[in-house]
Amino acid sequence: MAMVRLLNQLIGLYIREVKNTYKNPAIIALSVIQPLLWIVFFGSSFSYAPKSFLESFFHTDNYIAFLLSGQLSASMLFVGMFSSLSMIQDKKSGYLRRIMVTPTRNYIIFLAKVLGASTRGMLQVPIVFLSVMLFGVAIPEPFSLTAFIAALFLLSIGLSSIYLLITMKSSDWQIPTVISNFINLPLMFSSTALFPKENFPHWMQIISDMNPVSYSSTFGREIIISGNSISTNWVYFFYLFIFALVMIIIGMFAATKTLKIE
Amino acid sequence: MDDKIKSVKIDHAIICSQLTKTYGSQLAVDHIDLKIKYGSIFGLLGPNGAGKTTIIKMLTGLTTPSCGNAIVAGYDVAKDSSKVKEIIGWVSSEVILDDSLTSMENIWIQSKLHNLGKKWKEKAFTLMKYFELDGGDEKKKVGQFSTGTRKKLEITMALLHEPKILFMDEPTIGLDANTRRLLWNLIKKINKQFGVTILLTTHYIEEADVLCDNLAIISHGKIIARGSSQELKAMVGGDLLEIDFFKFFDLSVIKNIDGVIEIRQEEDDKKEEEEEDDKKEKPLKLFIKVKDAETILPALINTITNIQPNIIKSIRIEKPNLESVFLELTGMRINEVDENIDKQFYTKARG
Repeated sequence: MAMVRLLNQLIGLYIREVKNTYKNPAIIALSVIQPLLWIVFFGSSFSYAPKSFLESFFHTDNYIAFLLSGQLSASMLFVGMFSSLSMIQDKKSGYLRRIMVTPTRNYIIFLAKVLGASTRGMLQVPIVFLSVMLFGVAIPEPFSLTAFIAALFLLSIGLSSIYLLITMKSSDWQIPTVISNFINLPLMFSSTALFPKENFPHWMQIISDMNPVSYSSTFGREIIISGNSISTNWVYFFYLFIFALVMIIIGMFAATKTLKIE
Repeated sequence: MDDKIKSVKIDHAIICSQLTKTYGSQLAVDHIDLKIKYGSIFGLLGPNGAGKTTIIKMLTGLTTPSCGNAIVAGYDVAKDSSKVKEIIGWVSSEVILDDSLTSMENIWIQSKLHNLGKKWKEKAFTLMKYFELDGGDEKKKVGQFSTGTRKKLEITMALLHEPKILFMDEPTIGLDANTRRLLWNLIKKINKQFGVTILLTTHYIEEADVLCDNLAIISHGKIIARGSSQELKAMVGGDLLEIDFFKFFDLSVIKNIDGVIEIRQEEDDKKEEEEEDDKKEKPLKLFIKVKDAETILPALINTITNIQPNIIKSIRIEKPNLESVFLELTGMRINEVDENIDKQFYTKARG
C-alpha cells in the first residue's frame, strides 16, 4: 500500500513535468535545435579534411559520426541545469509548498524532477538521429541504439541529480546558470565528446577517464561507428549505471534532509 | 493520564502547547497555547509579520517548531508530519496552481499526491458542481481563469481527499469586495456541509468578525487575546472616540468629564526630541474611551470649543469591534502596524 502511494505520487509529479515540457513548444524546439546546430556547424569543420587524417585521428572518415554521441552526451549537461531551474521555479511560484503540504516524501519530489528532466533530454535523440542521416551517418541496429539511448538516460539522471543537489537549498535563478557556465564547458572539453583523448595532456586524460560524459560519448561512438554493439565495451555502460545510481541515492537522501520551503 | 490525552484528542482538532519558532535570533512565534474545537472556524487575526503564517507552517508540518509541540487531528506535527498531511487541506494566500495545466490536470495531480485511486474524478466533479465551477472547457489552462475561479479550484483541490482540518492562509487577500463576500459564504458553507474544521489567518477585521466562531489576536508572535468575537469586543468596555486636533490641546480639561474612561494620545516617535514650543503647534490625535459616545459627545465638544474654538479637525466614533480590541491591546491599529512594516521594508531596501 505504501509502495502504491509512493508510486502514485511519483507518477503524478513526473507526468506534470512531462506535460509542462510538451505544453511549451519553445522548450521542445530549443532542446532539439541546440544539439543539431552544434553537430551541423562544429561537425562540418572537418568536412574538407583528408580522409586519411580523419581515419587516423577519429577512427572514422565522417567527423559528424564521431561527434554525434559526444554532442548528445554533452547536451545532457544542459538537461541537468534545466532540472534545477524547474525546482527553483516551483520554489518561487509556491508550487513546491503545495506539494509539501501533501503526504509526498521529499525524495519523490526529487525523483520526479530528475526523471522529468531526463525524459525531456531524450526528446532530442530521435530527431537528431534522423537529421544526421542527411550527413551520411547510418543508424545502428535497434538493440544497440536502445542501449545508447539508455546510456544517455543514465548520464542525464546522474547529471540532473548533481544539479539538483547543488541547488537543493537555493531559490536563486542565477545559481544554476552560473554553475552551468562554470562546470559544463570544462566537463565537455575534458571529455571525449569532441576529440579523442589520446592527444590530451596527461592530467586531462585523468579527468577524462573519470568524466561520465566521456563514458557515454565513447560507448555511443563505438555503436554508431560500427553500427552494432558486438565490439562495444560495456564497462562504459555499467560505469554510467553506477554513476546514476549513486547520484540518485545521494540526491534522494539530501532531498529528505535539506529540501525545504523558505 | 492516557485517558486524559484521549479525551483532549477527541474534543480538539488542534492543540498547541508553548509552540515557538525562532529564525536565528528572531522570535517569530512566541510560546503560544491554543486549542481549536472540531467543526469550528477559528481565526488568527493580526497584522503582517505577526507570526500567523509561521504558525500555519508549523501546524501543516512544513517547518518544525523550535520548541513546544502541536497536535493536529491527534498527531504530533513534529513526529508524525506525514500522518498530519494526510488529513489536512491547505489553501494558500496567493492562489498556487500549475497555470500551464487545465483544471482537471491540476486536480488529477492533487489526487495522485493523496493516492485517491479511481474515485478522484467522481469526487472532483461533485466538488466542482458544488462550487459551481465549470469543468466544461477542458482545454482551457487555469492561468486564463479569473482569480475567484482559481480560488474555488484551489479549495476544490484542498477538499478532494476529505480532510478533517482545512488551513486557509489569508484566503481573501487580493480579492475584490464582491469575490471576498462570495468566498466568505463559501467558507461558511464548507464548514457546515462538510463538517471540516477551518483554521484561517487574516488581517481583515471584518473577515474575522463575520467568519470565525472563535479567534486569537496575534501581535509580535504572541497571542494577546482570544475568545469569540463578542467576548473580545466586550473587553474594550466602551466606545472609542478618535479626535484629530489642528494643534496641541491640553487634555486635562476633558479628563474629568463624566463618562470618560481613558484618554490616550497617539504616539509620536520624535516626541522626546522636540522642544515644548514646537509640540504646541503640532497636530494632535486623541483616542478617548467613553461609556457611551452619543451621550457624551455634546458635553465633550462644548468643553473643548469653550476653551479653544475651531481646534477640532475631525471626530470618529467607533463602537466596540475587533479593530478597537487590537488598538486597546497594542496601542496601534492593524493597518498602522502594516504601514510601519512597509516603511521599515522600504527604508531597508533603500539602504
